[in-house]
Amino acid sequence: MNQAQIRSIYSLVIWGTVALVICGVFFLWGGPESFAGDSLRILIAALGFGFGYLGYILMLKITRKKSSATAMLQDESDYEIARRANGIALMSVLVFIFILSMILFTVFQDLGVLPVGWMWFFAYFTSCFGYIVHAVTTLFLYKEMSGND
Amino acid sequence: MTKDKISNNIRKLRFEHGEMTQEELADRVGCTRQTIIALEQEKYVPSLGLAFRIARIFGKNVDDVFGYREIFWERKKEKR
Repeated sequence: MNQAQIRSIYSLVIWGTVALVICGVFFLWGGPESFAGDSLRILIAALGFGFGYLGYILMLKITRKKSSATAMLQDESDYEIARRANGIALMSVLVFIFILSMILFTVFQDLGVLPVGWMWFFAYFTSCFGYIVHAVTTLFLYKEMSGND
Repeated sequence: MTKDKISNNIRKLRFEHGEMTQEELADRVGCTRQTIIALEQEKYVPSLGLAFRIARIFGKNVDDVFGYREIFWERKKEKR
């Protein structure tokens, strides 16, 4: 397993955990309508997200390796996979934002107002979603390319 | 509509050149062993630069190492 695959697995674990925390705080603990007025839930969501980023940065630092004269860590096939994973993650995030926006519009259209807590969920979960899709895509593309390696 | 299919005989050439290992070939052409594995399994199409470097290691032309053919996607239409 190379550096990109190891990082993708860690990234999946970190952002998957953060996404679960955010979903739990948002949906299970009082629901979206009361989220914006509950400072404790806002704080927990922010801390979860902050620790996620901290863990992610630490993970990047810990797993950092430099190419030596004898062993190359990354080459053109790795850059190609990274390029494709970035493109797929970007498109997935755009589609996710579009679909969620449309769902919220349809659900709250008659009311004419949208609980502002959804904006928090939108901001936090979209970030997690982007990282998760990128990690899953990277692992999938390596599996596709490497076969039985 | 067509799709490019690039085949190669890197594995055969490695064995013809003193049973060169994938690691050794990777080091000599400046790529990772994982890329050589993917190339041999025809799951990755190399850049032109890498293709030339591999051919040079074996003392061959690119044409002798890599093969090219077109695959037709819409085979039903082709038959008609």
